[in-house]
Amino acid sequence: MRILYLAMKDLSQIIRQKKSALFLLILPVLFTGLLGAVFTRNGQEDPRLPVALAMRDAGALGAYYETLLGYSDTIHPTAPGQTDAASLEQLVRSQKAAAAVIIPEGFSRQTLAGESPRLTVIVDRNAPAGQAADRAIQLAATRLLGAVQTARLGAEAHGPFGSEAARQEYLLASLADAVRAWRDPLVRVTARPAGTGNAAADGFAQASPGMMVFFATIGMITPGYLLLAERRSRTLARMLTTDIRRAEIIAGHTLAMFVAGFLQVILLTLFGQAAFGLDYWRDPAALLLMAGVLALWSAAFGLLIGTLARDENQVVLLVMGATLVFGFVGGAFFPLDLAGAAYAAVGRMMPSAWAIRGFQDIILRAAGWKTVTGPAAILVLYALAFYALAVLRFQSDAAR
Amino acid sequence: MTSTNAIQVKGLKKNYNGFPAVHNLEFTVREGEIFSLLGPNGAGKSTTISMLSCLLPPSGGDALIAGHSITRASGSVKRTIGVVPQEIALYDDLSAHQNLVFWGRMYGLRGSRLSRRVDEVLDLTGLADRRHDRAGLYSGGMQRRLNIGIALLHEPRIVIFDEPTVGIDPQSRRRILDGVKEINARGVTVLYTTHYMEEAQELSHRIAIMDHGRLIAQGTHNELMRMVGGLHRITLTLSRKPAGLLALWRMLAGVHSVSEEGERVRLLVQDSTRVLPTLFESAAREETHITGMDIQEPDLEAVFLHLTGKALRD
Repeated sequence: MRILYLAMKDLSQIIRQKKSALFLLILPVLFTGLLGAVFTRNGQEDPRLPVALAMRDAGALGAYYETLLGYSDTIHPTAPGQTDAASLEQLVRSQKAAAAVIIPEGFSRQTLAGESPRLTVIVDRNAPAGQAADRAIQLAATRLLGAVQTARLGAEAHGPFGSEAARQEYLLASLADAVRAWRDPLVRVTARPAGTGNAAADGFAQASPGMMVFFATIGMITPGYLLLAERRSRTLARMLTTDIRRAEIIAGHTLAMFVAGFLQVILLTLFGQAAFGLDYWRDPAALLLMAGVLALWSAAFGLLIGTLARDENQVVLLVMGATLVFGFVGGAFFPLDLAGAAYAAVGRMMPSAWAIRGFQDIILRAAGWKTVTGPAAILVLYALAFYALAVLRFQSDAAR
Repeated sequence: MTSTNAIQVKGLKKNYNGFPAVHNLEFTVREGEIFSLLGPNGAGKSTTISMLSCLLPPSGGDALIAGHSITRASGSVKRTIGVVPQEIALYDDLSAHQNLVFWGRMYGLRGSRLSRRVDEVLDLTGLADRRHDRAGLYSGGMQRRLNIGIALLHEPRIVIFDEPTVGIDPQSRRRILDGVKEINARGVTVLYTTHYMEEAQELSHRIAIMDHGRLIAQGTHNELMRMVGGLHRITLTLSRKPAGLLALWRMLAGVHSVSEEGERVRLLVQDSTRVLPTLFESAAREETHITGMDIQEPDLEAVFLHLTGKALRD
């Protein structure tokens, strides 16, 4: 019962602090709106990966290949300023293009003559974007060859032509039809976000969980400060002169931080659902599980900060320092996949990355509670580690 | 006051990194009395209180509080005592009422008993009219009173005060001392620590004097006074302090001790009337002027000076 009374006292103190509302609700809402708008505006230009296309072929097949590249859901061809190989390589290296394709001179003539001209593709196959672009480029090439083959077979089935010019004319017309057919194929596999399916919401699908996780730890400034004040004002020592046990004191403080964090997540997901159409509440069990583990981790973090800090400045410094690392490295501000494989690998060591992953599984991939148990379990492990450190620190501090 | 022991301290020790902060303490506090631990800063009073409050584990020895061992039954000890810490240990952002309700709950009070005790303590501390004001807005004296009131919520048999008057104005100090007497008049045993001789003298039925972690004397005020017999304490302010003069004074008949404190020299003497002319005469021979003089009847300061050779405030 005393755990509950202690938690109620802490919550009452948290509510009284003006900065609680700022860190727990106002700033996350503002930042979600801001970042979501930025991501969405960028997304509206063309969400597909840019592929620089250097066209050196004057024939029809080069143009058809460009058309087929344009039909892709993954990439869209762009015309680079410089078309020499070195400039194109620089474009790919600087990530201004996911890949570059050089269509050589005589490509159409050689292909129609049954030869196998080589397309030059410049791509970083270690980058996820490069891999996706490469697959799309190969697919367009395969479709072009398929179209050529279809046109040839059509010409053979037609029987003898009056002249070679008539055959060429028929062949090119068939080719145009075959290429056009890929614009709206009979069978089409489309990867769509399973959650909202709403392009405008995509930016918020990154910003909302990102900011929710980012401010889950920043929100611990007030509870951390209250715990520090309790140690410094000797109210903690006074509490230890009553017959409450140390474990009860730790549990009471943790419960208050957990409740504050949990309510923060619930309110922010309701806001995300209402304002941005993010379907957090498709499976309430999954959402409650993720909200619970995120609140547990942030509570353990708050407890650790409250036991480590020696003054108010240190509370802010430790919370902000750790949160910035969790946020920037863990992908709160941008998708980890956009940052390269090495960065993403380091990012996935952050508990924040797993929290964001869990929430994005819910809103983008319609994950149920079983699917998010993986990220949830990892967050619980981090929470236990933080909690153990906090308890050790608390015990040694209270003994002084 | 009865002859039953409320607190029995048996060979209590506390070492910090091998350094003895409290050394082999032995004393008893009888039920219903006010017992003061008197000593200068760093004497080990607060460490002793922390051990008796079960905040610090002793390095050796034990103490029985209302028959419960501090090392083996800390829960029972904590339910028996109320502790008034030296610092103001309150939640500034909560009102007096909210502080008392919270601490009452921590002491295990519930329901109507909690409400009754909160109201009684608000009346006792004179804070009933401002019960809903934030504690952080109170004056230092009001905060001190609330600090004390919290320790009384669960109606403890024994209340431990750890230097409750440090750094407060004389008016608030007066109220606190009167409050301690009132608490004691209700049958509560009081263990009071202070480095103010006057407080120990005014409040206590019995006094123990501590220095460097050791108990150097204990007894009633009269018993302690008998240790210095009829010794008077003379404080002289000199124009200069020639070493030869102080050495000479130490050898004079009737002079028990001589100690220096800044510009002043303190002497414990058997009979100030007989010794003073000799002091003036010898000072004149050393071309030293006595520019100030204060003669006091035997008191606890004299006892401390007699036992340690230094002033209590050193």
